[in-house]
Amino acid sequence: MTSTQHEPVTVHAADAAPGLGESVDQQRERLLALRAQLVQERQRAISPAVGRALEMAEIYLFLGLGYVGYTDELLPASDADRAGRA
Amino acid sequence: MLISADHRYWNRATQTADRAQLDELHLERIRRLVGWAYENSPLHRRIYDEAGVLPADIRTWDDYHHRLPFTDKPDYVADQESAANGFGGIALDQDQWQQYFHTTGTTGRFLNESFTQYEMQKAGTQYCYGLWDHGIRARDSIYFCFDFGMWIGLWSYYWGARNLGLTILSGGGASGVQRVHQILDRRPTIVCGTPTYLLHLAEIAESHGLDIRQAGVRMLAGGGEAGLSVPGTRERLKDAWGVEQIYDAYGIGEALFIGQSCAEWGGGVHAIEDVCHSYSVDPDTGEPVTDANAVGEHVITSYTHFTQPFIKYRTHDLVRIDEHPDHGCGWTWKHFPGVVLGRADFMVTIRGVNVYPTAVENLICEVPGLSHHYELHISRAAGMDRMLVKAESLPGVSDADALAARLATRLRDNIGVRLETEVVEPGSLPRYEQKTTRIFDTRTADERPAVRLGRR
Repeated sequence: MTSTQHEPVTVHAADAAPGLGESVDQQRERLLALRAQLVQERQRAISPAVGRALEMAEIYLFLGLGYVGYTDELLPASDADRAGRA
Repeated sequence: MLISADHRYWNRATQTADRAQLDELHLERIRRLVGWAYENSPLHRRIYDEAGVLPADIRTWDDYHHRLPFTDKPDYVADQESAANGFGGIALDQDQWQQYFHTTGTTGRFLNESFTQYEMQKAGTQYCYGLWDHGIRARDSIYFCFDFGMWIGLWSYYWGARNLGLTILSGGGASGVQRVHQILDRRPTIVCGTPTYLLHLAEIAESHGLDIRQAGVRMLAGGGEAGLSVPGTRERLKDAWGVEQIYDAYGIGEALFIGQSCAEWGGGVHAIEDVCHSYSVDPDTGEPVTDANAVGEHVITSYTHFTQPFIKYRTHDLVRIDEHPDHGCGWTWKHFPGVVLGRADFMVTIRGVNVYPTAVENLICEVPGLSHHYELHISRAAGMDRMLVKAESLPGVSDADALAARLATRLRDNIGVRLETEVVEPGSLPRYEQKTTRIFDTRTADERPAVRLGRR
């Protein structure tokens, strides 16, 4: 299944994650903003090729969120959304 | 490349966070994971329903320790045997799985495992912390001494190497001597294998008149066995290969290599707390062990597994956990001195003394004339546990009986009990490419220790 077949994905805003420092918090906020853009772009993907590339990009981006203490979701939106259990 | 190679830590934010911050992160992740498992895994819903616990009940560490039930491999094996798809504990639909694996089957039954793409990427990150700490960077290379099959451990090492950006060299499908030639030709930074196989490769090189030390390998890395954290084995490997660094990784088939060495070498590995929660419990009572010197059964919750959640999962590994390590590396993550000391289900008690296989291995390495190759044969006679230590001599050693007596004395002086010993001819014990089988326990299920964790 490609991302072009997805229903819209909701990216959750960050709850108050355990404080790992100001620079960490700021990076987490920037990554979340970037992810929101990425998800929007996936929904506008012009082909399965672009959609899949952006889906993989989100997987890598989600790794980055884990490094900075993001705990609101366990999985990238792509996995959770495909399961219908975001 | 934008990533500065000068950073001291792979991920300072969490790797050096204080214990309270880390525990807060853990509790939040565990709470979400319990909710995920309850909603999506029929196995977990049944286990939690039987325990009368709902995800919303798990709010504190006391709830986690005392209200949430343990899970264990037999739960998953029973589930996989009754499942149409042959997998147990599944929480994510099959059309999202990307690769199938299974555990080594050390305990007699393979556990089938499935991963999504994200889970594989996430599992691969666990290697980066320790390898980075050892100065390994994207310009370096790693040689794998394995055939890539269904066993998951090697694959996760591979994902880690890819994640870090290393150049990959695969020795898959090659014979031992072909691998020696490839290593000499390609000169990788790291050679990855089990300690037993790495020693075996050095023997192969020597038997063909080749000097593996000329390959310029900087690090030997691997896991699957205790040896890479056993001082005597580490020294033998350093000497045989001429390497500077030995890198250990402690793995659990169900959660992958969640323990990794730091560069300062504190005698064990750190829990990679970005990918799992780790604690130990008293095998009799199931209560958390808080004394850093006390041995307990290791229990984990994995943050890399969502297709098959592993939550408060019993590993049956006996460990010591230091929650506040201070050996100079700067990591605040929990540390396992000596890594796995033994198995709760293979525990041997001889005249009241618990005998740990890693302690025996370390002492074998200290006896001149013995090789690294050994087996432990556990049996029961007249109501008493017995252990026969079968060790292989080095070439050129003639008096096996005298050597066996020296080994027995060494073991008695250090462990406090006399074990049976036998010294066998060089090359007579089997060599394994993957996880080596060292413990042969012929006790019946009734004769083995019953680990109840407080249950009747």
